Amino acid sequence: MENNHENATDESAVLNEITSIPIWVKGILVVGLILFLIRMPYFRQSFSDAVVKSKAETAVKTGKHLDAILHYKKLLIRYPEDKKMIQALGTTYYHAGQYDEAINTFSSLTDVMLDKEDAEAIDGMIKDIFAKMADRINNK
Amino acid sequence: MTLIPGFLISLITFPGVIIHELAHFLFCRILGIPVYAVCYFRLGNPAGYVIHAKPARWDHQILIGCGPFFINSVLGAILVFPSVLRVLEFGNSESAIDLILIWLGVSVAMHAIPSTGDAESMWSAIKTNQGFWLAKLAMVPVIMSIYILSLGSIIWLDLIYGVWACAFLPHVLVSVFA
Repeated sequence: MENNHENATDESAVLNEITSIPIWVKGILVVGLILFLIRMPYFRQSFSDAVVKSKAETAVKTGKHLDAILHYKKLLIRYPEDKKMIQALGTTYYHAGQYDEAINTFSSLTDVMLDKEDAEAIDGMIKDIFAKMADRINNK
Repeated sequence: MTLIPGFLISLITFPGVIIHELAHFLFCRILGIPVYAVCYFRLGNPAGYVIHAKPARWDHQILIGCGPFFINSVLGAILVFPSVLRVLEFGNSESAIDLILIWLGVSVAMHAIPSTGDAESMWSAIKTNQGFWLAKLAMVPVIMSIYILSLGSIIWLDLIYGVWACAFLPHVLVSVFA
């Protein structure tokens, strides 16, 4: 695949200079501009959501689970079907020790197709939660 | 490593080819270099070309050759701006226009890398007697990089660059405000 620009030969003296852009090229530029302008108003919301998601991920990394839960719940209002987000919320509930909420959150993924790694991680957390609950009952 | 015919890649990403040639054309016009022929897109090799007069100054030849790197990179990044975060961060889009804009932006940005033909023109320019030797020496690694990046399209380096150019600025902004 090659694009090229070349210098004209000595015959360039009889060549006509091109000074304008063809109408169809301008048309493509206009179409791109129109599409850009149509979607640009939605950028603010997408940017805001991405910032909240970044804050949630940072909160998880720094152990601020309650902050992360608030951020993920805010995002799930807008993206209720996002399985990665649901899994992240459930995982955060698990790490925050809110086991009932974690189980409820993971249960919404019952009929959803997950990656093998994600499914195993969720399975591991659920088993751990039930084991902890069983320990509590046995210790009473 | 998947080998796909070059003409097919050009066809799928034809907006990038058009903007690449347009960038050469615009830099010629800005620098006052007459242009005699422009093919913005065709199913052939090269997929596009610009034939212009030989610039009197060697640095003008360099600018004309590097034009696509600036214009394609910036335009590609701008085109995806409204849509890239929604699709990359949340894996969905509210509108098919988001996907069209991302295809447009990545297509344009991946054709930012000057071709080996462009590099040859730039190489010819620095081999002339005119100009300060140090400035021309500084261009040697730039031209070598263009050769390497152009050949790297075999391993999809141009696509990797296109996606990076489109995703870089929005992610930087998110990191700053998060």
